[in-house]
Amino acid sequence: MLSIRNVTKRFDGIVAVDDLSFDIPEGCIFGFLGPNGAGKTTTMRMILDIIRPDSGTITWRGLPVSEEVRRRFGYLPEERGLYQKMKVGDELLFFARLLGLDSLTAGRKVGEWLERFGIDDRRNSRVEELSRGNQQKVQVITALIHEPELALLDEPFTALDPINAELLEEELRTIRDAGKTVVLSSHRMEQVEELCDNIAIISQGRLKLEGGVAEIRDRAVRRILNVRTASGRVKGAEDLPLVPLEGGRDYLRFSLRPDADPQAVLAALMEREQIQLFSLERPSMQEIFIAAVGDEDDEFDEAGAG
Amino acid sequence: MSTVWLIIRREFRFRVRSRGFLLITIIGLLAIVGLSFAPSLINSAAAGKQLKLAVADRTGKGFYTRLKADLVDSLPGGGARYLLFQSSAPTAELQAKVSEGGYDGYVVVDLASGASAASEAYRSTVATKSALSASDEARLQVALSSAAVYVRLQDRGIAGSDVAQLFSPVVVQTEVLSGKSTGPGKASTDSYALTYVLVLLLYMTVAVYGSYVALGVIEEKSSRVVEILLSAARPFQLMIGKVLGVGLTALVQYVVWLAAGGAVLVLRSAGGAVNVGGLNVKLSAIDPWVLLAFVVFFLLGFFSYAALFAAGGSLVSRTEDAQQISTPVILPLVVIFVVSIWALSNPSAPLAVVLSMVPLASPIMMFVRIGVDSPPIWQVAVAIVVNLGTVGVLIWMAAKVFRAGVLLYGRRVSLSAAFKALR
Repeated sequence: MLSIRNVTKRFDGIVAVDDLSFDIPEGCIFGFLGPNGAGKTTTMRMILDIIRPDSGTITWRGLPVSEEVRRRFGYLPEERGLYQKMKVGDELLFFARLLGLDSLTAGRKVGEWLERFGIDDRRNSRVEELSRGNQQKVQVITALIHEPELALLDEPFTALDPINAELLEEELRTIRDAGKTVVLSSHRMEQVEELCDNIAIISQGRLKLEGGVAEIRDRAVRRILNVRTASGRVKGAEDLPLVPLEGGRDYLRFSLRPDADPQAVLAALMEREQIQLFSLERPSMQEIFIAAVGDEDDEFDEAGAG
Repeated sequence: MSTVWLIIRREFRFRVRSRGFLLITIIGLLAIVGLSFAPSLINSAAAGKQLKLAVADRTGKGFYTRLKADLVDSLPGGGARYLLFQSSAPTAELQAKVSEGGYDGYVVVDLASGASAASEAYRSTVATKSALSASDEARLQVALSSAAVYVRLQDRGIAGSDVAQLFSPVVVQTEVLSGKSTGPGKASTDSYALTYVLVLLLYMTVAVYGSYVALGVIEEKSSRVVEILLSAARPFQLMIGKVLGVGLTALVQYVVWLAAGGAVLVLRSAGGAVNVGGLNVKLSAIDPWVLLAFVVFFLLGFFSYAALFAAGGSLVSRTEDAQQISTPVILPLVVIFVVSIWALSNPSAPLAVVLSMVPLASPIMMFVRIGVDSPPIWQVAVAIVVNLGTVGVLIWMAAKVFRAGVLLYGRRVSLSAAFKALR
């Protein structure tokens, strides 16, 4: 388990990470989410001990992240970092060796990974000659080649086409199933919802939400109401605390007003119409995300349903 | 394999395989070969030519005989350098003969205008079809002057054999007395020339390879490779690996150059003196200790400046800003280089002695003193200790600045922020 406890980091007096505490359980894919500038990258760099927190501690399996521990981590930085003028094969071999693989294993792994991502024909090309997507693949390989216990991937899907994104998702699941831990940040919430087991959402350096994805969606206040009536409409809906929404197919969609009680709404509806379907929709990750990073007092309203 | 070694190896391989390295090495090789052959090619073009000169002695004092006896120089390829013909023809006729190509030139010796024979004031005109080389001109001047002295002595009744004895040359050998009681002294002009060439090389390579360190750091920063590197290595390992890798590249370049230079010297000299860039270098003058001192002081100087360059490089984010940090590092180096050229002629001046033991100035200044002088062994020891200390402190400071600077992007990192990192 990776434990982050009361970590604070300031740059020139500006707080980047503010008393942050959360755990990343092992053997899961962990979505580390937050709007731009929330402190995700800073936190990842602190986990890797590239920069040190002003206060607080970060431990892996109960121990501080030493040099030896860090080599069992993999890192894909947000902004791409490769020697542009080196050949793809040489570059990967260098990083594989640097990350602790012996010469033979490194050579074998580089071949395997290049093949897996379909770029083994580019082994002798210089990195700068590759397309952005292919450079991203090389970057991903540098983060995963040594089978890290913990892989920290800052925006790994950027520049990947849907086919390669799918390929990477599959790889990450394989790694997870082998008992390793993957931490990734992404702005594509449908993907997070599909891929991640656990998430933490931070905003302005503070933790807003954390836990299992399914559990969070179950726990989240349900504010989207799906109703199907025999008549196909709701008589006098404007008297109820409901705001009509687009998107229903053979049913009607409403968003509940913040102070509305779903039980009372159900009772009122049953008086007016013959109810065939009444369900409170689990909010999507997108909605949860927006609700979590929005201001506390305009939590989850109509805007969130968009 | 250790992390530092992997970083050194990458740095070294990458640089040695780059086109820039190949280019500089080849240019250096051409310069070495060119410098050692070009002057002799120019000289041999002139030296290969025999001079046919008509000598008209209008004084009747035996100048022709004297010149003929004196100018017995031979050409490098064998054969007489000067062919002299006695002539009594008038000057106008001699001129005509020269333009026809009968002679390359003529020498007329006469009394100075208006002077009587008793005044012993002689005047000589040397006229040639094409301009005389500097060495020919000097040679003829010396021969004519000594002939005049010979003639005057004879006029005073000193016998011919005595005069010949009077004119037997003194063998002059210039030496610098060594501080050591044994061992040969250094031939001063030879060691001056060699030291000059080596100091220039020392200065240039410290500046060029130091800049490579700064540029390498900036490149890793601007391409963000540094983030991956830092996830697998400590900043100190990263910095020291880069510095050592670049230093190794420089050493390999030296080896190539020195081997080529050595081969050329051996090929051309066969024990004699070789003209390198117009300066005579005698193989025997190349003291192995001077070459050892060169390598030692290059390494000490390179590490001192490379640490500064690395720290500076970590403070900027873009290659375009490299100038901002390399100028303040290069400037003192240039000043020291200029002072060191002065010190070549004044190796024992108090300023040179003091500077040879001052951090950052010491690598070049002490090498100059070792090259052209024989500084006391304790001063060399002090210089080495001071330099080792300097390298240690600078690398330690640079690692601190590096750690702080290397992940700061966008804004230019102020010096005060850099100093803050030192605490």
